[in-house]
Amino acid sequence: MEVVVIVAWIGMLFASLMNTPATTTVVLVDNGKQHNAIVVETKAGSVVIDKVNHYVNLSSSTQKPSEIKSITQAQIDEKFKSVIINAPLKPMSVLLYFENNSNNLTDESLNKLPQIYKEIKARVPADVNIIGHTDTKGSDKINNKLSLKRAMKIKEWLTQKNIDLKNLSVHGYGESDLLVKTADDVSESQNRRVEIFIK
Amino acid sequence: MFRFLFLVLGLVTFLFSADIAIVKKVGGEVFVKRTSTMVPLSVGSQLQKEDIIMTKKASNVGLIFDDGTILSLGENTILSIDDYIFKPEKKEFSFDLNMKKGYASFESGKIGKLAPKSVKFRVPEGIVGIRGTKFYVEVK
Repeated sequence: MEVVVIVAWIGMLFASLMNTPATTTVVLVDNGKQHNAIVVETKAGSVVIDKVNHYVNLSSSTQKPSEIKSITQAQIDEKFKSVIINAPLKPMSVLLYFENNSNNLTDESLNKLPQIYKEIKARVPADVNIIGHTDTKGSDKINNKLSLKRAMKIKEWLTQKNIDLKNLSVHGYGESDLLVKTADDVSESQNRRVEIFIK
Repeated sequence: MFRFLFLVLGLVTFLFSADIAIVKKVGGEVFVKRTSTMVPLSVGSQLQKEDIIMTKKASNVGLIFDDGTILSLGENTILSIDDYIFKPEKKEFSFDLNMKKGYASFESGKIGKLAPKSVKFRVPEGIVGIRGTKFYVEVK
């Protein structure tokens, strides 16, 4: 019995010698992007973390951040589970394409609508921003109208779905914001589009 | 015409709404302290500058700011939104959060992309900032 107590006591002593008491832990996690880095600073100095699943501890404002250490995904998931459980989905944007001089969606884009519906539904109360565009074929005036018609077409589709929306805005940018830069009066299927921003 | 419309829109936004974030998810009991009153938060609630968000035990909240920043708070957390400016058309940005205790997840949005230095996430011992993800290279 005595041995056990001593071992435990030595263990505690070691723990107190080796770990400076940390009150704040900052972990850099994967955000799906290549460039991802943070600077953690106190009055005593700063440190850059640029590798995901790495962290520093802060023990006081007058001490430097600890050295950078790695942490496993399982440890992160455990430590931050109360945060992860209710994290909102990322905002996203999608493009839908239209037939020439028309507010009819291409077949391929038409097939994407059910998936887009799901994405919006998953984000309720959602904020949806619809922006219509045209190619440079035809006059500015006609294209302004056409771009708005395209955007309205998507709006109508969406309003029929009765999704809980916090905000719904619709704009037509005409040929002023081309996806593929072309000269004037050029038919370009990539430019005949509607952008939907879903938040 | 377009520009005028934007101006009017901007003015309307300025005059009538100081809402900067929306609550997307809530679990358990979450409150906001605004001008010394405590209001419970629910899905769809809007947040404003200088709000202090508090979560109780086994509670959490997920919000999205106007610029697309995603902030989630875990249980027993206190965090205040000390400053928030997102005016890309004027190139004015500020994002200042102050966490007293608890758990948070922060995923930067447009402010982090356009003006990373204006993002400050304060903790009692210091500040977490985000690094610019854009750079220039000259090769001679």
